[in-house]
Amino acid sequence: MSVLELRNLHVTYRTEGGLVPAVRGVNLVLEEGDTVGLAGESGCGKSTIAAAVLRLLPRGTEVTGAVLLDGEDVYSMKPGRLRAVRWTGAAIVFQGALHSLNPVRRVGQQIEEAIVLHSSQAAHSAHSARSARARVGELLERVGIPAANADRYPHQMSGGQRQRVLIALALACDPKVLIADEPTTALDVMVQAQVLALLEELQREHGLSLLFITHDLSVLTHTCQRLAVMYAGRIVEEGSSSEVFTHPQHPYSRALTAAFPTIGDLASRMNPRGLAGDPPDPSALPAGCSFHPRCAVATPECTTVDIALRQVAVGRRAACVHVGVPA
Amino acid sequence: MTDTVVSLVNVRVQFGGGRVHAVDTVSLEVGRGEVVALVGESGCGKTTLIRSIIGLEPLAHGSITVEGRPVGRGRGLRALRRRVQMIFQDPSGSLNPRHSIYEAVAEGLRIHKVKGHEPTLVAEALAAAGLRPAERYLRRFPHELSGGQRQRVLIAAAMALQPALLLADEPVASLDASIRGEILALMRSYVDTHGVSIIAVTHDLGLAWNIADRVAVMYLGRIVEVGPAEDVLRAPKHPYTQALLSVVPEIEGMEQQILTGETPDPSRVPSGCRFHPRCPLLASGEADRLGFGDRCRGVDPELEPEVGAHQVACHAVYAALA
Amino acid sequence: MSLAAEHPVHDSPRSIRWARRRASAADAWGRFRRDRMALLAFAVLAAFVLMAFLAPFVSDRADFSAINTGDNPTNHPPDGQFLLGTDSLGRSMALQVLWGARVSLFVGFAATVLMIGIGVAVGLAAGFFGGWTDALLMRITDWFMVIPFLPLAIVLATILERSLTTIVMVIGVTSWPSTARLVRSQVLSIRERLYVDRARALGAGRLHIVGRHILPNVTPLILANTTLAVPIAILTETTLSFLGLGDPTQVSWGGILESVGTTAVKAGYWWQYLPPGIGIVMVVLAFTVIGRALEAVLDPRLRER
Repeated sequence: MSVLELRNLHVTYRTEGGLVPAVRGVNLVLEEGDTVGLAGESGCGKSTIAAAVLRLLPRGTEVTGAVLLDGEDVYSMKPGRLRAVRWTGAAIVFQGALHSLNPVRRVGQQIEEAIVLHSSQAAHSAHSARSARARVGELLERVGIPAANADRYPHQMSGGQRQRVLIALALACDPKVLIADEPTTALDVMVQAQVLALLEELQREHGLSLLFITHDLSVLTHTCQRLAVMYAGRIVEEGSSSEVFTHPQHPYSRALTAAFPTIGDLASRMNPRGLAGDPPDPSALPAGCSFHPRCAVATPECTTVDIALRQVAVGRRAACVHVGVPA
Repeated sequence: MTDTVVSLVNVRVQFGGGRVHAVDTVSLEVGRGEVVALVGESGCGKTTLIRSIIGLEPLAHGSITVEGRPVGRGRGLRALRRRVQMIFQDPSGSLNPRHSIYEAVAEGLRIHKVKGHEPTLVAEALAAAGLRPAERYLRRFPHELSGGQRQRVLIAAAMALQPALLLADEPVASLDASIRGEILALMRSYVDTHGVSIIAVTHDLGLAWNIADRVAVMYLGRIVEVGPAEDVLRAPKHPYTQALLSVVPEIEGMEQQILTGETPDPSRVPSGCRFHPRCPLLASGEADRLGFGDRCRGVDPELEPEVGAHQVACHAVYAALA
Repeated sequence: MSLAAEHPVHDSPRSIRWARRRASAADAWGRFRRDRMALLAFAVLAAFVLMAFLAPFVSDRADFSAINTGDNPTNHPPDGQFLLGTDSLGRSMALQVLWGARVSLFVGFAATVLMIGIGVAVGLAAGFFGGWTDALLMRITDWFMVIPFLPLAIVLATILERSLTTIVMVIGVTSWPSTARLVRSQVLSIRERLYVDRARALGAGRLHIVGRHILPNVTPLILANTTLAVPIAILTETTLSFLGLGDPTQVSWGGILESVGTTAVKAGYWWQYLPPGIGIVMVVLAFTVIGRALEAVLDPRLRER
């Protein structure tokens, strides 16, 4: 049974300006031990998916379809069950650690909070406090931070250290699924490599399933086995990460991979390639294929017909009229 | 004789009363029509360096000359800022939210009292930056534009003054991946049409590969390696550059060398070679085996010209040459 | 075809600037209009201003002199002839309230202008120049802030000649510190913005930065602050007049309250103390409501951009 499954997920925000469809029919399956990357830019809906998994969306947001954690639909759970599942079933490592950590509490306390919230009620309070603290120390060491640093405040740590704290926090309750939402954006290249290596190690050790969300496609090829590219609330291409990165089928994926040139590749030397236009505004999507205004190979059909994912090869799909056969 | 646009000689910039050596003896020359990428991680001093070129940071030591004229203080600064322009790191913050796009572009023209029909100059600048038809943008406000469009406005405003040197601080870091290429291509196009020189500060080596003629790698306030982009990026000589390139996801054929430790703090510069605490050559013992380990710990290496333009500041490299 | 010919610009920079100003004023007015309370307050205020304006046309000072009022009934309740009754000297209360509006509003506005003028100048200088200037100006501001207001006002009003000018000065000179601090903190925050750095990099001098970047961002704050400062000034004038420190030759609402005194309350002559009292409350409330509405209209727009 899959650890995490998104079935025809639609998420629509209610705003002053009207309804904004952020996610429009996403299907995704994570088996145990899988590492899947979700790539896309601003407005594509990837962060919405991260929040949707744990029902962290703003009140009033319309969600249709199903989010199944270990077979259970998150949106049919009663509040008690939901609270129990949050963090123990799936946990999120957020981006921008300075904003995700409470600046006026010590980092050790914040991790402890997560542990204590989910500990069994029957345990004696003094004993569980001690064991919680011990666990905090363990977690920090696991992510490469000396246990003594539990007494530090977030602002006393560097960006890389804070990100590690967030990872430790996410692992506090031994979740099955780890969702990492842009965990390395805003970090220096070397620190990013350290954090990615850590994630890979932890994933292997604990048999975690990892959903890695980012706009940096190249990062995903190292960390994830499978890759899905999102655009305007939909998945437009998916397959094994190396395949998608080296042989992108959808014009958008092609542009995205070209944006991160391979150093040493003479084709990209003095040849920066990008897409005209801007990522679409979810509240004002173009008719037909939402990518067509920026597409170099758009056909008249593309302006009226919204293309669904089509089969290109085994385990390989892309939503473009030029590729494959209808799935 | 090469036409040098800007020349930095032994530049030092300090903060906190001399405690923090943000830029620690840097020398660099940029020729006309040349694009130099200044790469390094946070705290290496690259932003401080370009700010000092445009006179936003005072020099503690050394000199900077732009087109033969020294960068000083006071009146000379205004004339300097006609020839050197800068694009800052955050396109949204760089535009006054209460000024229209027209005013944002016209501001520089007015400050320097540029002759000509102002509306035409503004429209030309916007069109050259890819915002067409220019008229449609004149009355808009920054919050009505996307990140990429704002960056184009800033580039238009800078290039409207026809500077000889453009300083770009992380020009595409906050932009969506799919439009980075467009902005970078735009910047390169100005080199072709206006002959402007560009110093692009970035941590993104892929950007350097895309648009730079030369690459200078900075670490803790010092340039540790500089040379033609193809050489530095494909055959790096300094252990730091090698490690940096090895962890860039977009590289092929290099084994990952993840350095331990944090990005260093410029208020605590190590003795000897400033990279030595994190250098894999010292950590593996190879440096000592080959006999220059003590030099790494005790002596601060200088950039020494090799055969050609590819210079490195590293004892290991000197030892290999000897 | 040259770029210039391809992209003809039909607007002059001036027209663009004015178009922008019109658009932003129209937008602000639209939002303001939606606030019913604010509109009501605006109407009330307009009514009082009209009253104050009309006073010299409806009557003149002679109506208060003993010669003309000698025949009037004293302490007479409102009736057909005297709409708001008369006071102990036979003077028409309605006329007094009308004239009182002039003084209260005049002092309110004048004192506010003085207060804002000093406050903005000090705040701008301290915030922009920083360093010793800032330290010095802030110590002066602190000094003025710490002095208890009423004792100082009483002392000043006693030493100086008792006139409207004195009152205006007293209020203005003692109330500017809070404006100064507000302006200074706003200037400090704007000064750090990236677009100010960019202006410097473009080659802008201090004057340009203050005029084009700092002031326009400080002005909305000042406007909202001003609207709230006026009622404070009016109340202060009322207080001073009530304490007998006002200009004895002028009719002001505070002065009316002082002259009718507790006698009116004890005797039940409500037409003598209620009208000026209600007048004060209404004007102060009106300004406060408008001020709050202005803040809501102007500030979030700044913050969200």
